[in-house]
Amino acid sequence: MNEKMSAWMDDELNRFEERALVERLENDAELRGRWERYHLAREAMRHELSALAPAGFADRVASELRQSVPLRRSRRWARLAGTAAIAASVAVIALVGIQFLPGPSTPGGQLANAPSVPVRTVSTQWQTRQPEQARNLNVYLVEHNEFSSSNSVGGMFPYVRVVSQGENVRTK
Amino acid sequence: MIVRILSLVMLLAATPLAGAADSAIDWLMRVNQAARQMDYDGVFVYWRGQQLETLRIVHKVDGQQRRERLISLTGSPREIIRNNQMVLCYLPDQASVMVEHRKTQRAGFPAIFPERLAIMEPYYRIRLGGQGRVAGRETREILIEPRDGLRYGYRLWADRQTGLLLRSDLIDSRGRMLEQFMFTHLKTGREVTADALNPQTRAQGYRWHRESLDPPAPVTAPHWDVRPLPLGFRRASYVSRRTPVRQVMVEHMIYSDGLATVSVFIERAPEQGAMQGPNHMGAVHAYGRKVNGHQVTVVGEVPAETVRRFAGAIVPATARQMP
Repeated sequence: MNEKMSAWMDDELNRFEERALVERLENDAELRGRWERYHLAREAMRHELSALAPAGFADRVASELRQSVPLRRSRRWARLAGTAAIAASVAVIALVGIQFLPGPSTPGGQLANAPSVPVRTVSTQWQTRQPEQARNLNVYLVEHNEFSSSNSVGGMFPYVRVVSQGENVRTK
Repeated sequence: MIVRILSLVMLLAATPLAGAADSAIDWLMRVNQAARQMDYDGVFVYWRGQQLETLRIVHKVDGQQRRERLISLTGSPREIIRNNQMVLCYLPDQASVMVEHRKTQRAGFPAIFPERLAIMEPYYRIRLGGQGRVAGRETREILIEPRDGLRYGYRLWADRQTGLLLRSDLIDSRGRMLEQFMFTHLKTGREVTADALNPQTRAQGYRWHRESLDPPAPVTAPHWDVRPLPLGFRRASYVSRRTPVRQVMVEHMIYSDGLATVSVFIERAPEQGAMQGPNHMGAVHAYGRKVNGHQVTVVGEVPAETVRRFAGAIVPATARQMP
């Protein structure tokens, strides 16, 4: 499976193999997690770890996506978008214990629009089924915590929520 | 939640309050000092709802520099390292490291503590409780009880010997426990070694993320107000800033009764997906509502009723009300 994923990332799978892999990724949360790590590791290696993701990077990619990128660049962009979306979500939302996992890039070539950037989110914490709402609430919560703790003597305890993740936070 | 306890503790520390609460105040002063000045390395459990987790915390003071480390011992080994300038957040399950800058210099609540105590005093009852043992140590219990259903209270247990906070329960106005953290094991003083502050995560191949440094700007001509304010709450701050991910401008009002904090966020209503009505995550409650083409979201570690009242009282500001 690792080889398959690696080959996929290098565009070395035929259409049949690709579809089979996509199917497995869709049904296997652990595999998706591994795929994400691969992906991040590869991105990190490419940038030799020295380059921090610049501010607004995720948004730039998302807006590129919105403008329907030509097919030839699509796969690369889809990957980038996945990574960037993870970046954005990690930066703000993972803070409060939500996991983002990338779905597979859209098969068939045509890129998805920004709202369906291949990122899935599951929050069993906020009582909502809408990822967008949970995401917004989490951003707000982080902001709220920042302010509400700004005048305190500090201590690490406000960060308990960051480190704590909830045993039932996982993909379906 | 702990942060609020500690801020309370800090404000009490500066307040020579006369009367029956004196000894409880003395204890809170000790708790406050211990949390800031002592070296400690301990394991604690954190419980909320049906969720129980174990974490380790290390705190070491070197002159003016305080260094801290927090590690999750259950689930993914998430880890946070913090000093006076930076917060590093290692997320192995995301293969990521987040870097944040401390924002402690930000203007916010009134800095004069007696004022804050005067604000909160009518809404909480502070007294000493019993004695007991936590993490093998003798403790003294301190109670901060809300006087109405609009805010939460705390039951605190402090180490008799050092004053360290060893257990804290978040309680509602009926005394029911909502969240708890409790040390099970604790080392202090010279037993705490410097290498305990080193991250265990080998962040090889991790992705690094740095927050944007876009600071929030104070709002001088407010567009919104909360009328009537829920009992005991006052506005502590009003800023606007661009949100990190969506990059939209949000106005952020912060209200406090001296201990509890409520945030009101207002932005132009998105076309879809805006939250309407109540929501919660553990003891944190939220309420969403549309007002004049704007989305209002209220968030706070307060009961559902409190955020609902805030959301229901958002009105466009009339001219020249800003302090």
